[in-house]
Amino acid sequence: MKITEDDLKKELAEMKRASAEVRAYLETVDKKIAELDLRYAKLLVKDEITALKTAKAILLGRNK
Amino acid sequence: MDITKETFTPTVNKPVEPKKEKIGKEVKDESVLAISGVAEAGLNEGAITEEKKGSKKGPDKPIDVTEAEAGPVRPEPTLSQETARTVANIDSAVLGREKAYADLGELARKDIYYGNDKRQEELNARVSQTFEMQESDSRAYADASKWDRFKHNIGFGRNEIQEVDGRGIVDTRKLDSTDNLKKRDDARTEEEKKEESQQIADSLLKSGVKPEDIASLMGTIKTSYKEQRSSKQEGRVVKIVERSMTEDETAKAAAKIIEADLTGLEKGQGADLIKNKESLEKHKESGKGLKELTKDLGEAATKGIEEKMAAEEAEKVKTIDGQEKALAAELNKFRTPLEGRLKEISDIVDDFSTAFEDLKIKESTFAERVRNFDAKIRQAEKSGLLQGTKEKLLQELNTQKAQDAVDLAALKDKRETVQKRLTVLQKDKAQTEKMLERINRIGKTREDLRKEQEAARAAAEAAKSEAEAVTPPVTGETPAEGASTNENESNDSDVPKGKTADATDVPETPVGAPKVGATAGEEKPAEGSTEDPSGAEAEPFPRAGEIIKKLVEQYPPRNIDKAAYIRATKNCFLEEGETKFVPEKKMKEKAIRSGVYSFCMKVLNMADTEIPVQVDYIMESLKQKKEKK
Repeated sequence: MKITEDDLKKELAEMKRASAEVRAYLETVDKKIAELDLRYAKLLVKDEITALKTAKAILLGRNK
Repeated sequence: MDITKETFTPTVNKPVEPKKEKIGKEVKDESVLAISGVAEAGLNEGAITEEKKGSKKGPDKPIDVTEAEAGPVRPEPTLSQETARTVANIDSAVLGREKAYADLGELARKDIYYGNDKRQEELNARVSQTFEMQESDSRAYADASKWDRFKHNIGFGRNEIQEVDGRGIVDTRKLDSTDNLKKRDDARTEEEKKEESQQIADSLLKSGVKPEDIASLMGTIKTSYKEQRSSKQEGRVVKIVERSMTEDETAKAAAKIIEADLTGLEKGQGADLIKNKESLEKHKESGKGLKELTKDLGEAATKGIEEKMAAEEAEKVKTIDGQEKALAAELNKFRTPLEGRLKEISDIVDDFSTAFEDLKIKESTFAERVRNFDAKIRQAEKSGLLQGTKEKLLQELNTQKAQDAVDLAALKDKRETVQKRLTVLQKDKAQTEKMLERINRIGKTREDLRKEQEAARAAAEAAKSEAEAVTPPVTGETPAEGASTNENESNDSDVPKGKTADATDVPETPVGAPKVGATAGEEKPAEGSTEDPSGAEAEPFPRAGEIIKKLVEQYPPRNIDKAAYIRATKNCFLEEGETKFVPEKKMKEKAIRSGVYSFCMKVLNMADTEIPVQVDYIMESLKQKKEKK
């Protein structure tokens, strides 16, 4: 089927929209990565709260 | 758990760089906070949360479809300030802690041995290095009184008799009261002191201390002298410099302590327990042939021997029970923080896996779309549509093509970023699991382990065949598989018969699966509903199944997958054929054989936790059924 100028313009508009969606999606992915990185980083550093909770539990019942 | 060999520097940082200038000092300051310690990490989180509250950026930002007209838009600048800030935080936090977290050291130092003075003392031990005596050292030593030198060498009054900078070996208790000691301030020139500091610093560097740690370590240094007592070097004096351990060294020391403790438990309490378990088995075996051996002794004698054997067996069982409890208490010191860690890391791995799968789909979908778009342009070019006055359209199409290439590259980059993280995290997770597995093996006989493996294998196979046979429900309803009507079936156990509907076999994450615990009270079926032949879903076991499933999520199994673990646990609660509950004692035996004892106990002992209603419900249902029978 022969392609018309209108078809092409419509295709271009859809592609632009898809492209913009991808960029928006990538931004959410960045945020997700950052959030998970933070969780992992916090896991590694054993931030104050986690460390204290665990340590307290050990102190209260499991440590001699 | 050594992540130092892996690269965990987020590639997402790269796009952030151009933004750092805009963010300026703020980002830098937060990075410093993040690296400086755990308390700061908490503060940062708060700061980030506050940012999020006020932020109107990110997904809420309207999509501008005209952006492409201005040329390819790189995804990097679309990073919000909030994201850049978080990433900068992470960079600092990750980089700053990676090395200190070598092996299990950090976990041991902060969690396992927290509050254990003896272990903390070992962790705070000092490292000593021996130095050649310099001229100034010799003088400092020679200046000491004969009595102080003697005490110093035999280690008497270790804290009092030591070298004080510029004063030689002195009794520190006399520092403020003895004029003679004060005069020694000038014993060494500034140059000599500087030279000595340099010598120590060089030596520290050679021993592997990082340059940035030198300054802090210099403040912890204590020097002493030792006269050699060996015949060959009689009278030779050496200088010993002691310093505190660096973070890395502390972490490694902690890992060694963990290793030593675990080995100790394996060879000590664990080995004793295994020995006693084997002894019990032998005792039971010998009891089996007892009747044959004692048939000629008469009834009374046989009875006496049997009673003696039974008493011995009871004694052994009691001993084993006590040993098991003591060992479990010791092992829990390691297991509890590790299980917590495994749970957390599993969650992160799951989330990254989801993000990875999503990215793959998005990437392939978008690539397909781009291919179609390119094909349309080629078609238009061939047909001559873009010739003549269509220059503006042609330009727009080309701009979009360039933008597509950038977007595709960005998608690929993000996929690789996530994949890299998954690799690191999965390795970390595997090492945590390995450690837990090791802990789990302590105190178990070969037979125990064989049975555990057998049960795990059987459970895995059963779960697999069921998964193949059952179509996963998508309605959120749990399947009523296994329901039966065996009310008249004979039963010699102390548990009433009843129909059971197995809700544990639902896929791990069915779409819209009911949330256990959230509406426990509301979901509790009315009394008597269990008698309804068509009401299999209302039977008590579905609730037990949900509890098990919930607990499996809370305490992820080691070695086997979750479905298999659920299955193994469920098998402990149900008779073969899954038509009725087993007596509690039998359940415990099955649990021990299956290696899920502690987990089954968790199911029964959840009364003081967040989902008591369901557990109460199980026990209540059992009681009601028993009464009805």
